Parts: sequence; C-alpha cells; structure tokens
Amino acid sequence: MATVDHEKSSAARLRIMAARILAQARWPYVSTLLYSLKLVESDPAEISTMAVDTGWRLYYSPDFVMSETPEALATVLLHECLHCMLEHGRRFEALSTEDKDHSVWNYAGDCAINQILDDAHMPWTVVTPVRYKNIEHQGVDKTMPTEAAYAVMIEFRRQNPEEPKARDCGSVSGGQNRGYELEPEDPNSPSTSINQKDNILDSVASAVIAAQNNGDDIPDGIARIARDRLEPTVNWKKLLAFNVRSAISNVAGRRDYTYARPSRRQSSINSGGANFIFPAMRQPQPPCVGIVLDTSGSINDETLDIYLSEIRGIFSAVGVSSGLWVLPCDSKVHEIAKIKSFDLTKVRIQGGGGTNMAVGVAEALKIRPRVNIIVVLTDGATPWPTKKPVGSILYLAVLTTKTYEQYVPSWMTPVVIEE
Amino acid sequence: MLSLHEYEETYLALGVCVEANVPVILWGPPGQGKTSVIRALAAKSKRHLEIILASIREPQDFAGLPSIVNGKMTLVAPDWAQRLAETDSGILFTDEVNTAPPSVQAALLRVCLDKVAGDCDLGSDTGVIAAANPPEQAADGWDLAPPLANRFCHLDWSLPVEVVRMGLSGQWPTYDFSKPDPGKLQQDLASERAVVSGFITSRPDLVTALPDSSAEQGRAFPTPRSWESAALLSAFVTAANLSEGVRRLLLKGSIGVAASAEYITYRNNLDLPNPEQVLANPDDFTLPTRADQIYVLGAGILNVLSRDATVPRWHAAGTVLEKIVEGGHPDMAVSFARQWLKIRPGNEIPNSAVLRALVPLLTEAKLI
Repeated sequence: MATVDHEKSSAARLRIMAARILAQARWPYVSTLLYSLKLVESDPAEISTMAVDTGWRLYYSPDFVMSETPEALATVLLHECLHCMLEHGRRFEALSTEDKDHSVWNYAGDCAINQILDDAHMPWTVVTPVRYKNIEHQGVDKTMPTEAAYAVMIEFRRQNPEEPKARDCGSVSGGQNRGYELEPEDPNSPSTSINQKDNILDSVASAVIAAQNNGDDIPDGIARIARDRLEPTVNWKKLLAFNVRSAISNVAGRRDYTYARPSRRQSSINSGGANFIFPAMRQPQPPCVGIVLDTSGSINDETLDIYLSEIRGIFSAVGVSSGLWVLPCDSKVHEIAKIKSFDLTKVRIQGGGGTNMAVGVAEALKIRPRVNIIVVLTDGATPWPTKKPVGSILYLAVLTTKTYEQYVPSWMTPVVIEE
Repeated sequence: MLSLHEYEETYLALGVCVEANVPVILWGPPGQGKTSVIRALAAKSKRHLEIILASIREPQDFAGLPSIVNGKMTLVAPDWAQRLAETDSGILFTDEVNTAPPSVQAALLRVCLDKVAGDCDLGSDTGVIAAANPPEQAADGWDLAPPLANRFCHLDWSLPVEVVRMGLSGQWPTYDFSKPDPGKLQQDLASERAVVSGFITSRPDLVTALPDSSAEQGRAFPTPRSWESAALLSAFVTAANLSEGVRRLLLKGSIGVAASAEYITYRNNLDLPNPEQVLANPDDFTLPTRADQIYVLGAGILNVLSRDATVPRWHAAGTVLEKIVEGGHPDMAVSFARQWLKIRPGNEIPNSAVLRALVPLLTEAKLI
C-alpha cells in the first residue's frame, strides 16, 4: 500500500497537517480530538477520499488531498471529527441492525454532520457533500434524529432497490472494520481505546461549554452535542410528568400508609390478644385539575394539541381521569369544558387578540368542586396574577418558550417544554 | 439499549458495588434478568441473599412493626431482617423500589443507610442492592426522593441482543474479576481520596450540586457522601485492575454525568508535568505520549506564559514547541506557535529549529 512517490506523499502529509491547523483555528474546542486522529496514508484504489476507523485513525488518499485546498480539507477533517463526537459507530452498534446497511447509516449521519457544517458556513470545493435535500424524496427531514432518518431510508431502499449506494466514511460511522484498516495494535499508529475516546470526547464537551460560557459564538449543533454529553437535558414529558406526580402527592396524597389513623384491621387483631399496631391505608379523592390553555394564537394548534394530550395522558397515568377542566383563554376565558369533550378547533374561532393568563387562573379558582391543581399552558408572554391567590392550590406553569421563564411568579413551578 | 461491551462493564460495575458494599440501584425495564444476575453474584461470593418486592410491602416491613410490650413500644423486624442479621455479609435485594408508596420508600431509607430494620441491626457488612423501573415505564412509578437517590450508585441495566441470544442457547454470560488485595485497596483508597480532595478544592461548587431539574434529582448527583463512595469505588477499580470503562460507569453512577466527566479529566491530567516547572527547565522535560495530553500540556504552558511572558520563559516555550515538532506533531506546534508569536516579548527572534518546522506548514496553510 505504500506509495513509491515520496514527493507526493510528503506534500499530501504537509497539506493535511496545514488543513488541521486551519480546522483547529475554526473550532479550537475540538483540538484534543482533532490532534488525536492519527494520519495514515492509504492507497487511492481503496479509499477515494478520506475515512476514519473506530480507533480514530484517519486514512487518506494522497490524490484526493492534493486535489483539495487546505481550507476545504479542514472542513472534511471537521466532518470526520463530528462522526467521532456524534458517536455514530456506537449508535449504529446499538441499533443491532444488519451490518451491510452501514453505508445507509453513514449517509444519514453525513447529512446531520453537513447540516452543522453548513450552518457554520464551512467551505467545500471539489467534494460535494451530501445534504438533507438529497434524501428529502425518501421522506427524511432535518428535524429527525439520525436513527429515525436511517429507519426511513432503509424502508425507502427496500421499496426502491435501484437507489444508488452511499459512500463510506470508514468504521467510525459504524459497521465491521474495513479491509484497508490497520491492525488495532499497529506499532506506528495504535488505535485509540474506548476509554481514551470517552475522555477526549468529555474534554471536548467541557471545552465547548467553557467557550460558550466565555461568550464565544458556538454553532448550535456543536453546543447541543456538548450539552447532551455533559448536561443531558431531561425530556420535557418526563419533567412534566414528574411535576404532575409530585403535585398530586402533595395536594391529595395517593394510596399510602399512615400511622395517623388506626388501621381498620386493628380491633380484630387486638381482640386476638396481640398488641401490634398497624398503619391505616388512605386514598383520598383524586384531585380536580384546571388547565388554563393559551389560545391567543402564539402557539399553533397542532403544538397545543400535542401538549394537551400529553398532559391528559400524564394525569390519567396517575389515576386522575375525571375532574380535568380545560379553560381556553386569551384576554378572557371562553367556554370551560371537560377535557374529554374539549374540541380545540371550536375554541380557536372564539379566540383573537390579547393574552392574559391571570384571568384564566382567576376563572379556574371559581370552578366547583374546587380545583387542587392549576396547570397553565402558555408561551409565557402574558401578565401573571400579581399575588398568590388564597388557598392551598398547586400551580404549574408549562411554558413553550424558555425566555419567559423568569417572569413566572415564584409560587408557580415552571416547566419549559421544547421539541 | 446497552451494547455487549457496555453490558459487560455494567455487570462488572455491579460486582464492584457488591464487593465494596456500596448500595447500588439498577434502572431498567422489567424482564431484564436483574434478579438472576444478582442471584449469580451472591452465589459466586457465597453470600446469603434476601429478595424483597418493595412495591407490595408495607412500611412496617422495613421500619419494623410497632408492638407494645409491658408498656414499651418496640419495632419488631420481619423474618428476612433477622435472617440477614444472623448471617455474615448477607445481601438485601429490594426490587421495584420506585413503585413503592412514599412511606415505604422513607422506611427503606434507614435500611439502606444504617442497615437497620426496625429494632434489628442487619450488620454493616450487609450489602444493599435495589432495582427500579424508570418512572416513565412504570404505570404508577414514583421518582426516587433525592435523599434516597443520593445513597445509591445508579447503573442503567438492559440486556443486549447478543446476551439474550447466548442465554437462549443455554449460556448466560457471566463476568468475573479477582478480588483486590486488602492492603493494596487501602493504599489506592488513600491516594484516590487525595485526588478527590485536590479536585474539590479546585471545584468547590461541585462538592454539593443538586441538579436543577427535579427529575434528575432522583438520580446521581455530587454530595460529600457520594464523593466518598465515588472515591471508594474508583479505588476498588484501581486495586482490582479493572477497565477505565468500569470506573467511568461507577463514577457516573455515584456523582452524576457532569461531575464525573470533569473529575475523570482532572484525574487523567494529574500525571502531566506542571507547566511552570516545564518553563523553568524546558530541556529536562519529556513529552507525554498521547496527543490529547500533549495538547492539554501545551495549552497550559501557553496559559501560564501569557501571564508572565519574560524573554527566558518565552524561549523555554519555544523549546517545548520544538519538542512537539520532534514528537511528530508539527501541526499542533504551529497551532500553538500562532498564539506564542502573539505574546512575543519585544522583538525576540524564535530559534531556527522552531522556524524550520513552522514555515512550511504556515506557507501551506496560507497563513504567511
């Protein structure tokens, strides 16, 4: 595989190193990863462009390298770094799917990566990167996680076997080791161990977060990878469910034991001569819940519908299926309905102009029998009640926009939901 | 879903918790063979095992049944507690802890922390293992209260396809490690504790960091108590010569993702030379072997240099850059050199060896 053309070989090495310097200058926070990639020259017959293996060794064709400018090669290098950062290899393995489909997975991963690079305006020259627009016809859109895009693409290919094969970025993006790869214990370029890779990815993520706290401009995609690694955000459904569950246990208590009242079995046990004390069970009435829904138009119907059904699902999962009231509210409250008979489309016609959730809260307090929990679902751009209404009622403010979280009164529990 | 490799590491991490007597909780959907694995672990180390389903128990099963004898109230412990008290180093496995009502969870707290059930002392050598279904998968699941959550090392548990395949053909895989020598464990524990103290001195905000989101509070987060178990588990990994992956899992499970990632980075860079000493004696220093370590060291050297860029220190950094070039990383040296040239004191000329390495690359990258 060694090429006889030493001059070309060293020129290619110089260029790829120059590219690495440019790539480092663009995204300094990926430095430790970028410089950990071990450069291995390969036979152009085996690798037409560049590839990385699971041990983070970067194989390149000198012909390809010499055909590109250092600026464009820097973009390709960052592309390979993103395969590492997004852990495409591990994620493909976790799918436990057929190994032969790794090129399809690679295609889906490439689109996600190139989206991040395009957002950061990275230059390309000779190579035309694959983008989401190339797979739109297969039913993939760019909001999909790579796993979902892969599933869609596999299904499409099953129905359209003539779809051309995708290119490969090496085993870093999943699948068995490729034929051209070095042995894991190659003396000159040993592969990077899983733990070392994890440590490097951690340090990259820390560097990204440090740079972001420092006020540097970080591409969204990169910031998201770092956050997912170090500060995994809790899914809003989980957070909402958690808050609903603890609200219910606080307002009404659920099935639980208490020593505050004697057990119903107590008398019969004691009459038998024993002197044990048993706790009583208590299960109070399920709480009533008022859901104040912002129908002022700042949240679209479809989104509103998703959130509403999620809230309903959470309440019914914890055993509250009746006593759920919906109060459609813009500047005033429209017809209050039980959640089961609630129809969003009818409400929307009534809506229009102004937002005031304080009105909705005041109206929810008038419902009889009294509500124990009030959930306000809004984007957050609304006046709030100026002081806490009297009564031991729990308030959840479900916001669709994080910016307005700071305006939520302190006696309400905010939950920010994001898709 | 875990991969086979991750499963092996989780299995070993569970084994470490059991051996080191750190309470451990396994999070995973039902039917993942958690109970069988724990049975196997207990049988292997010949320890007595009690299995209890917390969700169908009442608080008095853990806190003891109040009983009045001669005008005094005693808390009578159930039979499982008495059996554990009678045997040396038994294991208590409580399944479905998060589907238990809050009062039962509260009663469990004292069993896990003090190894006491009612008026019955189980003995501090008793191991505590719990299992829970993630709240979103259990119909009436509760999240673990933060005080209970903080007492456990949290491990995610699921069965990879490969393991199920092997199991169905009659061979459930087991993984084993040899117990560390107690003397070595004590030594490693002392040094691990020193590392932890060093780390929390530099990051006092991570001594106690309750997660913002209430749902995450039901999992691992750093407190002085969880740092203590993190140190013990990490020392155990060192003493038993287990993989770094097992260490990661255990640290993550005790102090949470964010704190463990920072701690591991800190721990790994501990053996790097001190940048100030390198600048004082640049000729004596040898380059680390790994590229990421070289980068961390180089960045550290430039950082201290920028605070006090005297002529000799600046040239000392130049010598370091030269060594980085010789070590096969000319491109990394150039990245550093660009910063290095910006803090040049007066009109000092870089030595020729550095320039020889830098010029061709800077030209190729069209930076000069």
